Amino acid sequence: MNKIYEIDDTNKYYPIKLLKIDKHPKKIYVMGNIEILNNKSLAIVGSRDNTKYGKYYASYFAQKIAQTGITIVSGLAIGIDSISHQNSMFEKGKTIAVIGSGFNNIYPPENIELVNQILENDGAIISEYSAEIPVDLKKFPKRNRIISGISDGVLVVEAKYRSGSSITAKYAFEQEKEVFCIPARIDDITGKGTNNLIKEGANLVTDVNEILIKLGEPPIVSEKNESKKNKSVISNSKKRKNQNVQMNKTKEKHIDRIVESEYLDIYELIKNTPMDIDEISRTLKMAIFEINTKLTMMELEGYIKIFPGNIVKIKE
Amino acid sequence: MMARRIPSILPDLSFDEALETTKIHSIAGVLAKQTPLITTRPFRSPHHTISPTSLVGGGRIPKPGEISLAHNGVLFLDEFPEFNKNTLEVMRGPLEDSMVTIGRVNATLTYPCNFMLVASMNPCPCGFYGSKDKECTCTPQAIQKYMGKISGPLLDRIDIQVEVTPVKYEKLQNNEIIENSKEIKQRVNRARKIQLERYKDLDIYSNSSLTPNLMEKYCKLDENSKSILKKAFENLGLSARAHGRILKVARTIADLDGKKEIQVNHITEAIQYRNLDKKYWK
Repeated sequence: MNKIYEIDDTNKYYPIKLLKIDKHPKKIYVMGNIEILNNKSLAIVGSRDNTKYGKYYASYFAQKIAQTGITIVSGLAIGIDSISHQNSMFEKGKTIAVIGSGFNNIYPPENIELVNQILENDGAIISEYSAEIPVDLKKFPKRNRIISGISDGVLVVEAKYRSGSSITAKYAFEQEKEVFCIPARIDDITGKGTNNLIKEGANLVTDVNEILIKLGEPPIVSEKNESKKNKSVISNSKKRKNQNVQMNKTKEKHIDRIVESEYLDIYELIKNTPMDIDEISRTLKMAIFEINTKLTMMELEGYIKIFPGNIVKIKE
Repeated sequence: MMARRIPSILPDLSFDEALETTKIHSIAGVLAKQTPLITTRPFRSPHHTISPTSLVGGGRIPKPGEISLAHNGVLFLDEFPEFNKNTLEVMRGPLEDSMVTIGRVNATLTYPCNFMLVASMNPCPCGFYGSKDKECTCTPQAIQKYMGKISGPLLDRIDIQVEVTPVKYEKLQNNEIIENSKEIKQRVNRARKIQLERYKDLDIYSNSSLTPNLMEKYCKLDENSKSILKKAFENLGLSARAHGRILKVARTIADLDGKKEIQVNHITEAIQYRNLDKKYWK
């Protein structure tokens, strides 16, 4: 068991940013590295049932931001929160998890392993409750004010309408922090919250540098520009072009490599948008049993996976 | 609603079956005066507050329970997870053996119970898990708890598991030509006739009663189907019990199709019908 530090709001380790917010906790309990509480930090929050899209961009932004030395803050929930914690650690970045219960009652229990990882990697776990306080889901939205409070900005990756992540963003607006949102398709349930936040004035981000600039950090110079600086000789750029062409080729091969012709129509249909079985049947004008037969084969071959709601997705 | 329509597509009752079912109803004292001989397959749908005893049978001198009253017919359990867990688990043996032995101080009796179990359930307490149109408000733990009420062994005994998505209003309105119950019943009767013919020298009426020995004889697979089934076992983690059940379902699909031998598409369809556990119970 790690040592638990009790830090009250007169302590020098108490995060200054948190001191400035309305109704800040009088005392916080911290496990792990208490030096990082005052670091420059970005909160990455999002839906518990994330999509592939959310997973990809949560990982991407967590890694890129962590590389610059900014601490990643999140809420230790499953889904986007866990992904953000994990990916920040990939890049040897520091990460802070704010939990809504006592340290003896980590929620969800399956993330206890993640807590240990965070502590091993010099991260910190924060709670405003003492160790023995039990899990009470009603309290969880309250802890979101600390997530946004100790951060300089909040990035919402995926959020449903009126979800916990939207609450975090609401606190961030109140505390006058920067709110960043990754845009989503209109018809995505997990994108309703983020799109709404954008309407309400959150920053729409498509690139890491947009966040870095807003936080007052130097933007990342992309490798492309760097290599241009270093090698401006024509022959080199030609070489690179060739390389690019080759890379593109292998990429295409990678996508098309496996699919046999009889499955191709279904594969093409669901490649970008997952569909349920009825929809596939209607679009392709094939009987359900035919579709089922093909889907069984495709599943056995490892092309697809069928999810609750009969939704068929391409296996990653 | 769908389950209530099942009696309309059940095959006709043969004379021997009718006698068996009538006997049980007579013993239980539920035979109506106007129907001295039961000529349609029974459809029983007890409420989910039913006790284990009234489900399998019991009493001082054991009387047949719902599963025996559904002999040669359908036992329909609506809102499956709402049933008491004990109540569901007592069905495991009878489902496998098609008979149930009830021992009491005064008598030990064995009643036949060759019934088709039909059950329906929601995917989670709020009913919207996996739905595209409405958001599910349940916590993962609540969903797991709900699913956990149906044990693995019980689920394993359910041959055909189908997830249905909500019907949209436009669909209720449209006039697509679909098969009606009468046509389906003809198909079912045809398949049943094939089975009766095939098993006329044996003690059984249908594919579901095939023993492992008989399965070897009647559910032969070609090499291609065998390799698919093998792959399914390796990839989907099916149990040994599932193996026999998939074969029987495939045999029935082949009969409905009017084919003598089980073909590849029959076996793949049968495998697809067992996909609920791998989606929800993990």
